[in-house]
Amino acid sequence: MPTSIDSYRLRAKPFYMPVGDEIALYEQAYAHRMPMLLKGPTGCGKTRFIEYMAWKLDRPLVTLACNEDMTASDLVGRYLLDADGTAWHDGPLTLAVRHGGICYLDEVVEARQDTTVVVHPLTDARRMLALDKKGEVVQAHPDFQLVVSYNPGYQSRSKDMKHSTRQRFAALEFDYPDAEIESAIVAQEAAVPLETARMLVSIAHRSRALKHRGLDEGISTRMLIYAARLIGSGVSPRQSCEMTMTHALTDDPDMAKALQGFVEAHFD
Amino acid sequence: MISTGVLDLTAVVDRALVSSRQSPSEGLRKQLLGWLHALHDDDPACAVALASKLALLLAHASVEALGRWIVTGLRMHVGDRSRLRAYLALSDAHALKSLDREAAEGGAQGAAASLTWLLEGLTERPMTIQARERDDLYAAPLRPTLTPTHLLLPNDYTALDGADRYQLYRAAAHLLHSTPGRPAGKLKPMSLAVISAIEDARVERLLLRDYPGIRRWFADALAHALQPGVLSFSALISRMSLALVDPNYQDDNYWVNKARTLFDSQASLGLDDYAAFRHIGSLLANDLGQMRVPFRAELYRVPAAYRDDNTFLWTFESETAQSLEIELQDPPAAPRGQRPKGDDADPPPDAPGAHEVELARYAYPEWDHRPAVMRSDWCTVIDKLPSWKTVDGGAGSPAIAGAHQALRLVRAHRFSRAHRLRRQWEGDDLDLNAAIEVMVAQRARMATDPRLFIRCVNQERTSSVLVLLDLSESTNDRLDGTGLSLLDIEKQAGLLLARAVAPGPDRIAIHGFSTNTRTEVSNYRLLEFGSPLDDTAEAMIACAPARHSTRMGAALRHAVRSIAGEPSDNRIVLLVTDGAPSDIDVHEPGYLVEDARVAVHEAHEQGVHVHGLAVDPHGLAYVRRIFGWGHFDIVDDPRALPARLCRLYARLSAA
Repeated sequence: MPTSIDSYRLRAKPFYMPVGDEIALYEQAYAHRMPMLLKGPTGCGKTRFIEYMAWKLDRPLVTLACNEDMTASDLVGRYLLDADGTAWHDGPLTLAVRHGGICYLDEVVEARQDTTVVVHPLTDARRMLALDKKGEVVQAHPDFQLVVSYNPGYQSRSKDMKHSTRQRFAALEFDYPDAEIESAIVAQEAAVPLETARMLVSIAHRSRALKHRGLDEGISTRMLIYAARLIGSGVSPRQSCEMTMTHALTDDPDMAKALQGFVEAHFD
Repeated sequence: MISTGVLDLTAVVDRALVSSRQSPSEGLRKQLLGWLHALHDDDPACAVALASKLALLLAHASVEALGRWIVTGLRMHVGDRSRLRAYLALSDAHALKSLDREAAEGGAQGAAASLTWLLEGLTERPMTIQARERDDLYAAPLRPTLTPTHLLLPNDYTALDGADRYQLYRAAAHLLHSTPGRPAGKLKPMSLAVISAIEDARVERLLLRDYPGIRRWFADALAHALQPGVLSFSALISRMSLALVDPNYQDDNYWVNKARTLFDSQASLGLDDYAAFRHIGSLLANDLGQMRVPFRAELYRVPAAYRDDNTFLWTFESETAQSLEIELQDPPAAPRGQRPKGDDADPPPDAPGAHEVELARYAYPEWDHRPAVMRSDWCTVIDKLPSWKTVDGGAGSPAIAGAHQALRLVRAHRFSRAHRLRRQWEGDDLDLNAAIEVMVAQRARMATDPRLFIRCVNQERTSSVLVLLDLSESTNDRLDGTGLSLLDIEKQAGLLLARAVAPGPDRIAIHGFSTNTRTEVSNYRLLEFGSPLDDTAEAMIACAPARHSTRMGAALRHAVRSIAGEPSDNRIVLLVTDGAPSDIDVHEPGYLVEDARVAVHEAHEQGVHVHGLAVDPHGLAYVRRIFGWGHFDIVDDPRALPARLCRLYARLSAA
């Protein structure tokens, strides 16, 4: 397991196409080391954005995909045994706090609310992390920043952020980019002609119009990139869309038929 | 007169229905009888042929499918009575094949869900699809009728129109690119028909610009409708329409080729100039007049089955002959949920409601948004049990139509979310933190805590859900194609959900409400929390009457009070409604919406989650206002309500 913070540094520049002022706004927020909340629908580019920003700011990025069984120890660290006795091992959060990385908690609402409260002292003026088992208080490195992401489309009752947690963050809202930008992103990421990407994006727009009318979420940019990659490698557009979009998005045969209609309408 | 000399058609129909064990609604039975009479009037031998096989036919196909099968025969064998008789007597080779095809097809309503979504996605506006019934067996085929909010889909599409017949009308080109309701003025019927056909071609080309794939949809259907070599008006229009869409189609007619040349040269300049294309239409109509092509407006139907009848494009001034009567089931202008005038008096002793059992009365406040005050003790909610009289009084047995099916709750992901109990005496896995502490304690020669296991248990969070049904008058409206009302479907949805939930740890209650001014908000307690779902309970749900209006806020506050005492850690009120709140003592639009919004907010503060399910395609604005972003769903197709309700329940109750 890599413990050195440097292994979390991004080696190559991630591809990210800005949609608005988000880069400048994020840079300002980082200048103040403000905790950030990135919210937006699935597959719209939140994770890619934070990767790009970490690269741009030259900070290590420690990413954690949150889940329900995650405990506070999984975040801050724990004692492990070795030949000489017990030894403390920093968790990913502590690692970022100590060495000045950006800690990114992806889909933070998936973690139980009692787990996420450990970040509270890090997100206010104290900027400290208490390792109660170790009896140590770690003052955050000046470069440390906490970033969490969250998809407000979730409607499960238990998956809302506590108000006491969410009020500690400045928020950047993400949505699927405008058609032209989204087409350019799909074309670039999947190496397909812009015209193909435009078609796919138009299909996605049709599906997004059905949100709240049978679909919980529309077709995401990520799905479009998957579809475009299949098309790029020679799979027929219809089959590509069926595989990566229609059937990935819904189990309802009527809805699948409607989505298939969008696909048929677009590809000659 | 039902009896027709030698053949008693009523008896034939009744015998056939009994032997095939079909029990259609009275309306359908009459329709079937009507078809037999119509056949009999035209050719008694045809009626005899059909009557002889009626029991067999009905054993294979529903009454609606049988109707489409008869229409298929009439269209296949126009003017050839001997072959028609053979068809109806099932001695024609095509007859059985055609019967199988019609029996397998669910009718226009079955296709409505996916088609609605397709149109809404393409046009980004709410659409409602209704089936349009054919009234005469011998009438020309119906065409779809479009309004800015509704599409009436012919219920007489047969397999002759194409295998995927109900998906024919797919592209909504008019909705996106045509200006509706232009004045028809003094245009002659033939000019109207030609200009409309040119307009069809123009908007379809505009649509093709964005969606190249639809050329296949259109070209196939136009080729299907083609009458090559024929010089009738309808045939010429069919030939021209195909020529304007399919560049590979070759036609030898001068007029068709002139239309193509004029259209294409104008199209090369741009497709947005409506006036220019209208001028082309006028020129072409003029040519047809000079060619003395006969045109009879009352017999003309747009040749391609997928195109609408073009009433969308025109408004006719006081010409009743041409303006098509469109009866929408849900006229957008009519106020909903309110009874007709003169119906507000006390119910006569036999009326529904006369024998209801009153349980208790409660007073609730109401929010008046303009002065921003909460009016205390403003509404009176009356807890009631529905009257059993409702059942005897003609509504049939207390069984709920369609409720025999079972819905499976998708809750697998709830079980997979096992809860881990740490520091247990025994268990499946070592608790890493506890184990390390034990080792540390051992090395330090201290007493150890042997509770070092993790045990997984399915310690589910339990939910309590109160389904609150809107029982306003408007839910009595029959939905076309099904013979059911929204009320039936609401009851069916509630009952199916209750049956699905009952075996599990969750608790469910079903209430229904209707209001007649603020002094009488009736709340029917159809199923209580924790009470068994037995025959009595099911009959109680079946008995719930629908009348009066929808005062949502008071009903919501009462529902929150009812669920507040529930021991579960997840308390949900699911409100099913078919329209915006209204009542006859409130005239200000928005007043009851604001009150309901405040009631929802109060519920959230008390830890009760309120989620709205609106069976109203046009309801986005008010449901969003009332329930808040992410706390509502819109159900376009009422028949999907049971499945949507169950899915919603599974999602909201997931821990």
